[in-house]
Amino acid sequence: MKVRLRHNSSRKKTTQVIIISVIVITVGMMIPKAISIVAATVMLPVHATNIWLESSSSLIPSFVRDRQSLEAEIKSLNNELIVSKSSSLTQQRMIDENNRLRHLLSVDGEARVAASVVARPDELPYDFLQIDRGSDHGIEVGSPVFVGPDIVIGLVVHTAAAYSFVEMITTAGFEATSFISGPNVVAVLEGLGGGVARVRVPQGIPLSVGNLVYLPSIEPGVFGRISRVENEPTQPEQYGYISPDIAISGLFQVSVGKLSQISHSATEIDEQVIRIMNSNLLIEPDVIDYEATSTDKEVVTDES
Amino acid sequence: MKTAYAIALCLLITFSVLQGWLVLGVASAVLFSLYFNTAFLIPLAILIDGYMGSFHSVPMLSLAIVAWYGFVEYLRPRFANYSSA
Repeated sequence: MKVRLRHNSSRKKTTQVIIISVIVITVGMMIPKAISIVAATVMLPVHATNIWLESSSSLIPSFVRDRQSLEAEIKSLNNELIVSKSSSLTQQRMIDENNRLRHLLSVDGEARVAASVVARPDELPYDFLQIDRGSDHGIEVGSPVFVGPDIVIGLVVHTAAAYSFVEMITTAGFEATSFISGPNVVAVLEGLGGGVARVRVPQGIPLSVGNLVYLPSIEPGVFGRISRVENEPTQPEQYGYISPDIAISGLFQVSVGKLSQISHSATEIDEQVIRIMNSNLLIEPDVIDYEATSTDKEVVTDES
Repeated sequence: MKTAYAIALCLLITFSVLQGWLVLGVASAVLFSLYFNTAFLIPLAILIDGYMGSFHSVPMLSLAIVAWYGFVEYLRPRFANYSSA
């Protein structure tokens, strides 16, 4: 009897465990589906609204999208403004430091002659300017012509008493050695006419828009920035085109520096050194006083 | 000590199933059923099925363990009667 009762209770317990396990497994199988149905039902209006705002061409979504893009643009422009402000502050500090150092070294800016532009390339051939200052005002052939404190635009090629002609660097056929900051290379700058010059560098040099172009032979000689790069992979060279920031037709006043600002080439310096050496070795035909080493000087003087 | 053996066997069954060592897993489960209550394997199987994501379809391991539990409990009295006889 006892065994039968224990056997029945054991079977009952086993049945209960099996039933509970099956119920738990069934509920476990239903839970993911229930959650996904609930989530889909709840999220459907949110998702539909999001799609409507992102892709609809109605008035309100367009307004919202435009507003968001304009806000993003304002934010990026504000960032750029902050960066440029700090850059200009750095630039101003460097200019001040440069001026201070120049003053310390007694290298002050040379006096320049201000001149007005009386004729421009549309009135003159090629890229020439006529200015209203000439030799009477201290203008010399070869003097550099500046716009602003450091942007050089050309050289004086002819002076009359009251006027001068300036050949711009952009005139066709003008060539000069230039230095390109950024890749930090020396390149030949050639004028193309129409206010455009270009530099020619080999392939592989990282030329990019915005690189500053200097004319080292003129101090200070910033010419401009590269505004376009022409780079054909099949060509051995690449070109950087430079247009001065100020249009030729907008030139009104310029300043003319001194000829001393233009440095001479190594060949000219060598020739000058040789000329000096040649003249230094030349002995002047002066009378030479003889002085014997064994005779008193006083005796020699008296006798002579 | 018995509890420690039970825990060790449960861990062995878990790692075997997760690593795919089915022979070792089945052997461990049989050993567990011989010495301990097979009902403790049911929540273990449910947990492993939940970890593997089997409840999105049919949790075969859980159903297999439930069936194994019923089979073991069906056989246990017969073995007890046979040994007592």
